Amino acid sequence: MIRRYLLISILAVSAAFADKPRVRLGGVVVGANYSSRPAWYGPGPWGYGPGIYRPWWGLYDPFWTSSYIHPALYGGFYTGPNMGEIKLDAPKDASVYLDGAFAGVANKLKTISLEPGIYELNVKGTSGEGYRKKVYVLSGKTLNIRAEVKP
Amino acid sequence: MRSVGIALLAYSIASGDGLPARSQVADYAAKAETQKFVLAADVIPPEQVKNEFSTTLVPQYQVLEVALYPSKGSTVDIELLDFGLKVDGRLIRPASSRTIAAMIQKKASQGSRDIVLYPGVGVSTGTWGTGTNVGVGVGVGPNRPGPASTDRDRRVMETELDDRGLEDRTADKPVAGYLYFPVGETKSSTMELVYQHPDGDANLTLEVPKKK
Repeated sequence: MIRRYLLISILAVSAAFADKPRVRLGGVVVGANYSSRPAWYGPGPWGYGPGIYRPWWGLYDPFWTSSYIHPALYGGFYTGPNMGEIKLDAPKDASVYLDGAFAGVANKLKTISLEPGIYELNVKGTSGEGYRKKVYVLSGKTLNIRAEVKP
Repeated sequence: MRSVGIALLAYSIASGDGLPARSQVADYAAKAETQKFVLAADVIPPEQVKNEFSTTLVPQYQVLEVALYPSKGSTVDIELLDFGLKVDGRLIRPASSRTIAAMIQKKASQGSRDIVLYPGVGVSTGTWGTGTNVGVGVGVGPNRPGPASTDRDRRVMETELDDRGLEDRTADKPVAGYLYFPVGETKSSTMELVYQHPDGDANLTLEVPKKK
């Protein structure tokens, strides 16, 4: 028996942090299969997936040949574990300094991903006027900072 | 003069280096006077607490800004355990930064599990014909620690709360800082800040901020 599998697996993951249990999308799977006879004559069920998930029993099971990319094997996806974020609202030409070191220009630093810690944030406008704040970055949290600096 | 004081206060809060006492006692919502000092306080509304602190204090903690103005030539020994908050018939002592940080970290590290959906679309074709199918898989995700769950987070939270908190100290000048009371949810509209000091007690009645 010749069986050919053409498989496309698209894993789209939502990965926000929250305290409470929630429902999230683990991934969207699209698959196609060619076989010389209906799969229900085959050795099925080939079901593989999280728990009771066997949607293509008898017809098609995208996870059967691609279990190594199944989200369940990875235990879900997170973005930037143990990192915190600063969302900076500042004049676009302002210079941003972290702990005294130049970090970049504000319009390219809308979101700064940082390890948990205490940082000295300094934002300087082109006129030289500055905004200074001690920021406390925690993992999985986003700080919204509005730096009012004269451009 | 008042604008200079406000500017200094704003600068100091912005830089995160402690909390200066406001230039005038009248700038606080409530005050009480003894022979040796004036005690003043303000309740910080939850929205402001959320904006000012990285540490999650709302809704578990009531944050009070407390200031002490020693009389001329007097010194006052400030101890946090002399403060209490009477609300709902309970007297609640302020929590230390260490305790708060540890509790928040512990709760966050317990994490939670997600319910994960895996929708799928499949098509199968062959000499026998063509078939399509759709399905949705439901699974339980792994334990997902919440924000601020690491040891490093705990140290950062502790430092943040310390930096802005009222400290045990001897004061001969006006001092201020935040006190964190583990009140939780309350239906009371008022609460009473109690300060039991050897030089005289002071009680302040404060309004509980309304929920928005």
